Amino acid sequence: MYNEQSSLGFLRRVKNMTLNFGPQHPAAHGVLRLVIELDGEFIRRVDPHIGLLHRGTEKLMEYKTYTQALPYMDRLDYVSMMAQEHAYVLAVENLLSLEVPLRAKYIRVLFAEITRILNHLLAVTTHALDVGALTPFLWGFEEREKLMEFYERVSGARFHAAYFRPGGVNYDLPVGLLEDIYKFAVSFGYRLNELDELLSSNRIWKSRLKGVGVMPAAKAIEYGFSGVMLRGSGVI
Amino acid sequence: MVVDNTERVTTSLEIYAFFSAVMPRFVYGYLLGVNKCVLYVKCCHLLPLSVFLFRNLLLGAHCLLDLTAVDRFFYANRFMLLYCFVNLSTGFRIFVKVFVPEHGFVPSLSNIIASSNWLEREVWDMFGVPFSSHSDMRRILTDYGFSGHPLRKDFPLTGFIELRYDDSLKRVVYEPLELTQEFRVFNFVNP
Repeated sequence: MYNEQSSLGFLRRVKNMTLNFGPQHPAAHGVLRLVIELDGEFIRRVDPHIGLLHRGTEKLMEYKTYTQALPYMDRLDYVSMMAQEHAYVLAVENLLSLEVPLRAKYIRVLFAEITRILNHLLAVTTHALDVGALTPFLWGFEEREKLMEFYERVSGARFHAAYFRPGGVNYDLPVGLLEDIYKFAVSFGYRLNELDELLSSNRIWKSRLKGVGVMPAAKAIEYGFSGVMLRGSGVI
Repeated sequence: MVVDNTERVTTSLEIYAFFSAVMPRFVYGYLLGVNKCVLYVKCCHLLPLSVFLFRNLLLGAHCLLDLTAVDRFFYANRFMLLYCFVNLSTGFRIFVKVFVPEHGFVPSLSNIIASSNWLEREVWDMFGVPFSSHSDMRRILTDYGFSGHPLRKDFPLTGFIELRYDDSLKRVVYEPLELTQEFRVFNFVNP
């Protein structure tokens, strides 16, 4: 910043500020470095350095068999473990043209859906935490514990299950699990309603989020968004 | 988004008929599957074909979902690039395959398709396939000052340098890799 004499008197010429954010920052989840160009409070340009999270999974998998490479899939996205396994397993089956038993398909879809609930509970409630609401986080994680118990009963692990296999699953479901999943599914709707009551019409929640970071549908498609990001922009 | 699919090209056979009628010289091979098809394209035809694919309303494949490469080490055309265009309303995927020699250039799509910017940077970083007329051809995933392209088949799994915190210098130092043990392969037959 410097002063300059002009015909109007003294004018202050201001420059944009370039700011480094991360790679380690308490407000950032994981390691993400952003080089941000700020104009006052507004971000005019961002250069994200995304590589700090890269772990070379593909390279590691080059040295493994198909079954050995499967546990890497859990670690790609550690909040949707079995969904990642499912994608990998489907790809291998597609390559080898394997026929999968019907029961295994049902089990896999069941657990992929459980994983989806697990994932969305974490995503929505930690989002609320970032916005400033602690309670949904505690409620959501109670439900997550129940789901991770199903994970544990079926595979022995709470997170990194390594339960799917190319051609099926590792073990059949233990006795009584489906009963408990049914009981969970019946009661889960009420828990969701509680979260909905707490957040959806909340004035603070709305005032902090409405119109923030809007991505128009055309832009979202152009940038190759997928899944929930695309749905957030109103496509599909 | 309401999309009318009555007039659209939606099956792989229709895509085959469509391309052989509209631009027969540009596609030299087809692989048709359920809900997907693969178009084999020469490197010089990639740019016009991609623009056509991306903008065409009958195909509706307005989303470049993925770009990746395969290192086919022993072939003259060493790298196979795979572009994945997807029609978001039908879920139909059009894959475009391009074969590139080791020192060949690929035309960049980053001026036309926004999502190809980072995807091309990733392919450059991982496989070392350069893209011409790309506005920002930096590495994207590897470390600052990294050399080599990790997903090439001749790049060793362990890499060449290692990173450790030096307590006397009070900072992180880079050193040439020293392994105390050979890489072990556990490939037992399942009993």
